[in-house]
Amino acid sequence: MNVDDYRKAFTAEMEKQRQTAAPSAPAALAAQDKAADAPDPLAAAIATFRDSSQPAGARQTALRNVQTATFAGPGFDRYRSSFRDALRAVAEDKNEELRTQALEMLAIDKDEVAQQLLLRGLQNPGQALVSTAKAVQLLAHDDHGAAVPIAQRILKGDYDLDAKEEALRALASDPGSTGLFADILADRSQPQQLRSLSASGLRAVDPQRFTQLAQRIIADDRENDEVRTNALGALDHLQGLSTKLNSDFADKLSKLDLTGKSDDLRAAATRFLQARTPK
Amino acid sequence: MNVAISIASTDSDGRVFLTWTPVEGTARLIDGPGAGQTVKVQLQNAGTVGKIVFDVVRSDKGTPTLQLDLPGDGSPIRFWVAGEFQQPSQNFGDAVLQVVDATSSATLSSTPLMVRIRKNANSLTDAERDRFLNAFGNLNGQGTGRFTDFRNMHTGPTLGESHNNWGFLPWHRCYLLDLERQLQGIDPTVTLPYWQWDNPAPQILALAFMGLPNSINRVQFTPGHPFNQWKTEGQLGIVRGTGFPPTQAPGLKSEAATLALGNGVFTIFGLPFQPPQQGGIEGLPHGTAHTSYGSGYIINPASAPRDPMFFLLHDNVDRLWAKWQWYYKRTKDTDPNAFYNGAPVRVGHNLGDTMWPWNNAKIPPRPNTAPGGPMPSSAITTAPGPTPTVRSMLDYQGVNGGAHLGFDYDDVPFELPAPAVA
Amino acid sequence: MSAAAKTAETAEIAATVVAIRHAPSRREELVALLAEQSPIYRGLSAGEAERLRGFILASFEKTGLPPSALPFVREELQTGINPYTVAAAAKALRRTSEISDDIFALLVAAAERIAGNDDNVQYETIDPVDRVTRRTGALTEIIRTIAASGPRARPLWAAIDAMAARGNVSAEGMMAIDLARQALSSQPNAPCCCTAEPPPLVLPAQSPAARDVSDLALEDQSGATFKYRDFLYGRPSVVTFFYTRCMNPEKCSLTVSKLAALQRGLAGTELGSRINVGAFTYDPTYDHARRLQIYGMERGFRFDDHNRFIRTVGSFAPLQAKFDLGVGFGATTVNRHSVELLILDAEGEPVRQFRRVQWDETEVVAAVREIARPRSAPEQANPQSAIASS
Repeated sequence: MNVDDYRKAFTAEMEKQRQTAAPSAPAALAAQDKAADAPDPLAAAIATFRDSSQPAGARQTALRNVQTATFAGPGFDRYRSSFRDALRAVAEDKNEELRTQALEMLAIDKDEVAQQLLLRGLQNPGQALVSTAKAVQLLAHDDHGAAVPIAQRILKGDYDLDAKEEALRALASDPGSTGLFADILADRSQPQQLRSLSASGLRAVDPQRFTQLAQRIIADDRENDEVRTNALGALDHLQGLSTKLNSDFADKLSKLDLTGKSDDLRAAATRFLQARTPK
Repeated sequence: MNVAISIASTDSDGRVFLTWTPVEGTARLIDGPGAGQTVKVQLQNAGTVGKIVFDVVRSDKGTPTLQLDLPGDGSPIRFWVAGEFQQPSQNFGDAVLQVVDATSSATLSSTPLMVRIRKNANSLTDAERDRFLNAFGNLNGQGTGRFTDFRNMHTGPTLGESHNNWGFLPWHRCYLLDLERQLQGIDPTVTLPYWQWDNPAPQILALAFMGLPNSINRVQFTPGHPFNQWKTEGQLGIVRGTGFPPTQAPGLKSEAATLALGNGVFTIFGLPFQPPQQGGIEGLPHGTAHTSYGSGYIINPASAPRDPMFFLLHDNVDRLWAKWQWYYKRTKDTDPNAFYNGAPVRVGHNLGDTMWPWNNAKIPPRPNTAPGGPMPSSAITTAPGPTPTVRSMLDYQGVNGGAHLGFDYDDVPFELPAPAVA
Repeated sequence: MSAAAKTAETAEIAATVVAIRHAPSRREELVALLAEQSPIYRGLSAGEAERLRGFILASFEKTGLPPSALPFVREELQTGINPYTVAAAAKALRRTSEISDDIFALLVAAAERIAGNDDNVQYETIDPVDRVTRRTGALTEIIRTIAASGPRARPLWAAIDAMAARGNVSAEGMMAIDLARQALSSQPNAPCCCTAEPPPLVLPAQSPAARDVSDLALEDQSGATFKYRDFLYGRPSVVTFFYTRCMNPEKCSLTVSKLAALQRGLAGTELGSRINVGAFTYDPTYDHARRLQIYGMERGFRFDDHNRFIRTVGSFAPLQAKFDLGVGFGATTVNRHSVELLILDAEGEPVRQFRRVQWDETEVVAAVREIARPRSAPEQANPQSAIASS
């Protein structure tokens, strides 16, 4: 289409919009919020969100409006402390969705109140505000917090797979977990999700050990396809780390019989080899 | 006898990358018949996917073929070449500039190239998607790669450089361009795709692309996906909510409504977001696009870049600005409707200001570190230089005669200026 | 120690702090608790350490601020980003009769910083989940300290007015600014006081035998391993301390950027060819060689045999003890650290320090120039007199 025709077509679209739309002047952010007539609609939205007597839908709308307002950066600064307080109040709300959203926003911000509430819930299940997996995930947002010892405890204990996955992610940068990652990665009785995450963790904390173990797993036809694929993916992007791929690894990989193996594994092998083929 | 083609936007490996913006080229005979004679040749497309257009002047009316009379003594003849609008490449070499003898039809040269364009992420081929993901995963380097700088350019303490003021759009354009050039340093065939939120994007919000969150908002990917190794601030993985099903659009302000904001006046379209007033595009739909996910890194400006989806979102914001600029013909920095031109505001947001962090400015109110260093150069253009100004982000296609920035969007054409739309 | 035991211990410490608030003669005991390496912070998360520290700092509002506490307050105002602790530092100054001009400037800078990250705080109880005790904005607390200085604060008030005019201050903060403005306008001008003395540069003498780290195994950013004496003996050194996962951009990231700037200033000079420039990580198990290299490169530091980033191959404890470093550790990493730069002599012994201040490159260069100058024969015979006389 030439540019003149394109302009004509687009102009027609814009004209249609002009005829059907409301005036384009800026409007108050909380225009659909019943607090829109308040002197400060955003302060009113924060109050609505915090007010557990309000309907959940109204509180969600209010929260969404306030979240949007945070994208004003410095323009939101004057509301920041009251919004933080509102999030902390809602962190123990009886509405699960709102409570979880509040805890997540606080936890990503490394808020101490949220951390204490989550820790209390892990220590005493009767006080748990979210699932164990979610609590570990949220605590792990602060790598200067308490997530690592909690994650270590969860991996040793009887917890669901989600919780153990989040625990492994929480340990992903912990140099003290090198042995744990290597053990899980090498253990075929472990779920593939945990082995795959252990591959990522080991790659981060001990690239040399990861490379040796990963190459062995990738070359082993008896191994789980997903673990092999994820190990290959993790091996593929090592850059500048002090590792040495066995010089014949690429050759070994190219000779592997991947017939009947998963599409993802075959694609990962192809990608790996293509990246190492001299141009 | 053959023809040597030389095109301005050629990288150091001899590969040519084009956008919709015409660039200069020359054609000259090799082993021609000698002085005093000419050979009529035809420049044409021979590619299977990407298409190009030619002209003898810099224009927006290029044609699929162009006949030139080449001097027999090998003197060069100038021409202009551009990607044909709406005919981008999918990979390098799927567009070919072929030169044939106009009389005998003998092929005198074939130059593979790429019409390299930013596309709707939902329409990428699997190969395009995977090359993009591969490059981006490489840039992240499991938390040790250059991506850390992009994360550090957009944190809580630095938001004053990029938000809540007139420079919101130019700063993010520069940010995305920096990122894209870094990606192209890894794989030159890659561009930054955009998330067009007006329509459902089930190809983007999929395990094979930007992932899908599980019941606790942990984003899942296919085995071997580069983002299984994605790490920011020492944490492996991404958290993102499911604010809307992948088969539905999130219900944000439409493209047409966004472009209609202010009816071509930048001081309304680009009005800084000052809650409770929603401002221009910065508030809606940019802010609501972020929060449409409901939870996760992307709903908070201080943590949003930790989710790679952030970059697809902002590419769409930039595309909307580009489309607005094209539609209303607002690319001249002297046009008061093209950008804020009033009393000086906070440094970094005025037309003549250089932008942090590329300018290495570290005196207050600037942040006290400047991650990432100067703007990387490009193989195909000299703009914007190592320390971009706000002004340098306006005329990204060079429609007013300057150098272009080296990117284009699949649905925003190159059009030379005529009288502005009233 | 279990989490529950840690919480109980922290509560006990808080109770002691509260007791001292009512016994001002004991306030020096609080100063001893401010050192990052104090055992009271061991094992705490960064947030818990900040809270305890802020709780202690705020106590000086009741007891008065002893001079020994001022460096801690200054450091917090200059580099702190946690609104709880920064506001506590501001409160600590309330009963100080003479706030120096440089502290005023730090209070205003702190107000600007905290305005972008305000929070409601209280210091009556240490429990962060306490929902009963009334709280005040951290920015409001800082404004109140500035205003409490009366007309002496007037020259700095323009910056506060500008902040208010931008519209980014909470309603409560605006009220505090308005009240302060009204109070200031009715008071006559007051003369400025002198700038406070900078902290001392000369370190107290240490017993070399008790702090011998000459054989301490180290590794640099290239993966090369060596001993302490291999790098730090034979020429003077400028060394600073950091870790790559530091959360505070006003500390490690800025410190390393400034070290790179210092290095650039010395490049090609005669002095630059006679010294080492180095940075040690507080977090050696996490900050492997590649991380050290990337962190330095990203901030413009150039590496070579005399310019290195280093980690201890084993425990960091011997180095911390040798230099009495202001760093505390949680369960996995640093929970809090000071800003510190040391100048070491040619035997790797600290002879100058810049602690708890954002050091100025020119001052550091001047200090190292003095240490590195060729010594006369009498000075070589008696090194201590050389240091004392310089």
